[in-house]
Amino acid sequence: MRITFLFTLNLLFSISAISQSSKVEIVKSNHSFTLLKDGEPYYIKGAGAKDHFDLLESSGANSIRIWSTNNGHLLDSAYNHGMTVSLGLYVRPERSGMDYNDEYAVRGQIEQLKQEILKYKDHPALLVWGIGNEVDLRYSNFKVWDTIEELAKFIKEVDPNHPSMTVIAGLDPSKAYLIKERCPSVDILGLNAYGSIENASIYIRKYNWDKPYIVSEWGVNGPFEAPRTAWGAKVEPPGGIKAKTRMRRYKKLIEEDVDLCLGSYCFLWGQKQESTATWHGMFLSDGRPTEAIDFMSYCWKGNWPDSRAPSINSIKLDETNWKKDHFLNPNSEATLEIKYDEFNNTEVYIDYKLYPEAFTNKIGGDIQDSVSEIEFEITNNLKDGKIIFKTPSKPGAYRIFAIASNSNNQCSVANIAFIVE
Amino acid sequence: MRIIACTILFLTVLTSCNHLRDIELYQNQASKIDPLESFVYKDIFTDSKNTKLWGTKTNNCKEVVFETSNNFEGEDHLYVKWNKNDECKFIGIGFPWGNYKSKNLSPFINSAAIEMMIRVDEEEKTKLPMFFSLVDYSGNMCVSKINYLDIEGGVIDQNWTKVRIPLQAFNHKRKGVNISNIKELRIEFQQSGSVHIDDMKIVPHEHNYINTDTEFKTTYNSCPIHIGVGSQYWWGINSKYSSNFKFAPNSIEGQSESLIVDVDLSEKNSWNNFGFAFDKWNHVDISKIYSTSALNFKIKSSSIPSLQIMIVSYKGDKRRVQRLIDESNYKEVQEGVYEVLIPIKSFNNYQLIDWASLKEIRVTVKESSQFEIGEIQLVEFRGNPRSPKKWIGK
Repeated sequence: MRITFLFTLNLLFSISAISQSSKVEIVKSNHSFTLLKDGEPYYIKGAGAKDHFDLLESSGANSIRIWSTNNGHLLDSAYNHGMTVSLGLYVRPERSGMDYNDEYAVRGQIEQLKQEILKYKDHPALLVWGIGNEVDLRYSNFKVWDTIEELAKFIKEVDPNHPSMTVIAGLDPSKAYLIKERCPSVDILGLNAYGSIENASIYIRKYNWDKPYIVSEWGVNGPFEAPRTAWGAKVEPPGGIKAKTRMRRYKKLIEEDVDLCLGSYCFLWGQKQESTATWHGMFLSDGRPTEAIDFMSYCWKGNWPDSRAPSINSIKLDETNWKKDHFLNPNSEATLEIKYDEFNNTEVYIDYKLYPEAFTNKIGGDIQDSVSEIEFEITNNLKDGKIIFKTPSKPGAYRIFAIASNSNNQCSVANIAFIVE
Repeated sequence: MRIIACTILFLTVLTSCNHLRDIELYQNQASKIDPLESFVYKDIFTDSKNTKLWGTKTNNCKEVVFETSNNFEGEDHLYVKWNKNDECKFIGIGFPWGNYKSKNLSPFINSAAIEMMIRVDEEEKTKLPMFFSLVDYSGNMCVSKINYLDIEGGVIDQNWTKVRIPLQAFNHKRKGVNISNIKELRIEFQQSGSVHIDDMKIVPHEHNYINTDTEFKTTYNSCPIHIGVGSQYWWGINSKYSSNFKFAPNSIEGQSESLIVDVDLSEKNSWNNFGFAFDKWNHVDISKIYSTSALNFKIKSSSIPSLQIMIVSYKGDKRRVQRLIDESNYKEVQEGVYEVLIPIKSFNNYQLIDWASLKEIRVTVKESSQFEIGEIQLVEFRGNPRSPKKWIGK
């Protein structure tokens, strides 16, 4: 009797879940496209996110992007926060060793992903399918597009309620052509655009893409686009400059393309090592939010949060700014100075950390190893963002970080690379 | 009586002949023996008593246990739980497999698989982040993983499930692994998860998938080469948004498209660039001829337009070379018709791009102008790159 009751309850829940599954569609009017969710226009204010959902929701976001079904449970988390999900189907890129001439590997991947589609298609948080992420990065075998098409076609058959998108690493005329020709079932182009976002809306038209697009990853220019020091370290702008860049790009580039752009997912609502621990992440590795959160909140909601993080706009080492190369002697004294906006904070605490340079040959979003902190001596803390510290005795490439935070643990980070020789 | 005896003898011989087997003079007896049948190292893992493993020490990233309950075969089975984090670069276990004796898998590489029984503690899985490596005695390894197609029933759950990895799927040739001298099998675990493994062995297996050799590549070893053929391979021409570039209606099949250009740079956001694939967006290889080639096209115009030409490749650290073309590149062949010749060697740093993987040509109109461009090709050029007009050997 109890089993029957549980079974009935489960069935009712399943039916309820299915009935809550949204109908998402794209409507075209003249040259413009609108995403409709259950008949209502739905502009994506999204983030690539795996946690910090409370803050994401209160900041005004309405959607998250996840890169694979390995994190399928995040659909529930997003749903519980009233948000939708762009759900990635992880299509192995050629650069990971996948051979698209290997029929066994190709067919196995397709059939496995079809099971994932069947598993998640009725989830009420599902907004769009993201078939593959940056499969075009350093690829040469265009047959990968046949896999994308077969999955998009399968989605059309089994899940007509959700459009499909394939996500590429920056725009290119060959990719626009190949996707258009080889993947007619794909509804939306997903653009991971960092520096290239500046011209994305013009070039998507020049390259004759005639469907809508989503800026599936965007933010500040990536490490792969950054200037380098003489010893190959990548030059990262201070947090304040990065946050202002984010806001300009959102307001002037993303929001203004009302005809083709269905919305965006900023990168990254979380933390990850990508050349440095702070490049793309809007949080620190210990979970503290940076000023990037406040700027995104302003973009999405139109007003600033009550409590704002301080924001570092400049960092100098021995009077020379962060854009320049810095050569220091071992075991000598050097002066680090930051300038920051306090905003409405009565007190700002500044902390400093030293790391060895994390050189990497990884590309795209491939996982990179973090580096371990090095102990160092601050010989004189001159307060207000200025210290004199002792350089390491061991020659090598290093990076020093300054972290300014307020009493609510909101913070801003800047770093400067230097070499001891 | 003698007649009867002879008849019986004759019939006996005749019947015996009927049962004689055909035999060839040099029959190969070995071909009758199943190579896998005689392979003595079929078992890779049965239980901890009969099989040795390395990497079984539990640490912060993994826990390896020989569980004695709910085995599929033998006295225990292998249970691994792992969570990849910063503390471990590699999480794995190894199977010395026949106590590290050299194993020759080549006789049955196309007809055998590694088979194992697997189950998980919770949920249903269609893939596991486990990578299997065959390692030879030179330390080379080839990797494969569990393919959905060879999970019996298509799902791994709490029941023992048979999975197979065909030996062919390791693609040993590509990785330079000596498949006739295999030392061990390794499993690397990524991300996080847990799995029960038992009864791992080599079994006969039919693998009906092939590797194709499709390449999206076009190779040219001689000039002339028509480029910009097919309007679908052009970009920058989109009448919905700009009327600056239009295809001329007089294109000839197999020849380059012609483009009518009317650019007014005083207009805001005026489109001023276009491009086209070398050949249907294939990777184009002109590595054998690029140094003796020139880009050649015709311009119809009342005056010489200011153009920047960029050649773009798919690969390499440097992927584009560009230059502004000047009067030395233009030769008036009739009134208002110019032939343009741009030697490849006249591009700065032309040696640095990958001429075996060309993608496209991009043209930027640098000043307001009106002209028609067409008949684009790559031609032979053996003259002075700085004085292209003097080259008459075309």
